[in-house]
Amino acid sequence: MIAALGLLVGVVLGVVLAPTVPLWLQPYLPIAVVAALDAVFGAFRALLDGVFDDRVFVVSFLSNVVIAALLVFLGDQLGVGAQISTGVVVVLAMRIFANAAAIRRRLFKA
Amino acid sequence: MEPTAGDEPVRAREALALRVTPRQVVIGLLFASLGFVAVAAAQGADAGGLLETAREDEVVRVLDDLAERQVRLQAEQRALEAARDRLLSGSEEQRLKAAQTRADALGILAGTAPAVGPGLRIRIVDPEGQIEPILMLDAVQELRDAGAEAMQLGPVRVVASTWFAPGIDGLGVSVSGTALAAPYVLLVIGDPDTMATALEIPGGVADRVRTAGGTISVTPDTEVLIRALQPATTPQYARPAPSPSG
Repeated sequence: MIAALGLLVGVVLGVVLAPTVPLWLQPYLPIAVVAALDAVFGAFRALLDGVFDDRVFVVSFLSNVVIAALLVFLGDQLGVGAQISTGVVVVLAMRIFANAAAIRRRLFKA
Repeated sequence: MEPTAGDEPVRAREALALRVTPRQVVIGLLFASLGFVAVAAAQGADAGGLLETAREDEVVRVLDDLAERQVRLQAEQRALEAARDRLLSGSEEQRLKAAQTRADALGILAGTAPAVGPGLRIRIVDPEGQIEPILMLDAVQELRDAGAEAMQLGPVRVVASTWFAPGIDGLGVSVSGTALAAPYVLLVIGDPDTMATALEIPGGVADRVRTAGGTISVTPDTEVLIRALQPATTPQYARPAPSPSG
């Protein structure tokens, strides 16, 4: 519940403040968001499985974001930033889909 | 969306309750930052457009594309301007005449127009059926080398796309799908002396016809008339490209 509230607050804040993203951060932001979404879906699945652990969630959330950003940073330094971004997004999207499928199965039994 | 499964609702329902524990607050903060950053990223992607968010190499590619396109367009512009200048200068009559000359030359080359001029009448008799398509092709090549400008083999106009194959039942020669009946008659327009010499070189076409048991007669003529036409076709893939000179 508090998670949903937090999400709502964040969205409202984002809309109201309309922050300008600094240029150096721009390549990492979308990747970080997708990585965080992956963690969120994983957490939701764990919750439905009854194995949710908030400590694990916090750690996986932060490590996901950091690792994704690091990968992209490394890719940028190596000159393959665009490809690594694509790769990271593809992998994370696959995980999100897998988790979403598990959640769907649990919720709707289908 | 209430979970309905047997044992997990305990935890799931627990999560739905609004309890303010430090851990819950941390999770709430994480979600708040997620929402905030997601909105920021979405707005950044929205507002910036392609160039704002694109990486360096992507921008370079876009720039390259634009430069390339500019070069192409400039070339096209030059060609069009040159064509306009040509059309503007000179009288209507001159322009028509120039266009007609060009059309005539191209018509002879493409085989869409009849042609007349000095040349050779070549007659190849092949009683033993030993003449192969490759020999006819070599004859055509030899004549082209010797400066032949228009050719007709049997009823078929020989042009750039003409092809040779064995005739029906594998014997004889067919040209562009038309089976030829022996004796083969080849009409050529060009310099008669040069072409006749080219055919008679040792080991050349005439020699090979004789080796194959045939006879070849080459008759110079001041007025060879080539009537066979090649239908004009519209190319399926190739289309005119602007030439730099226009």
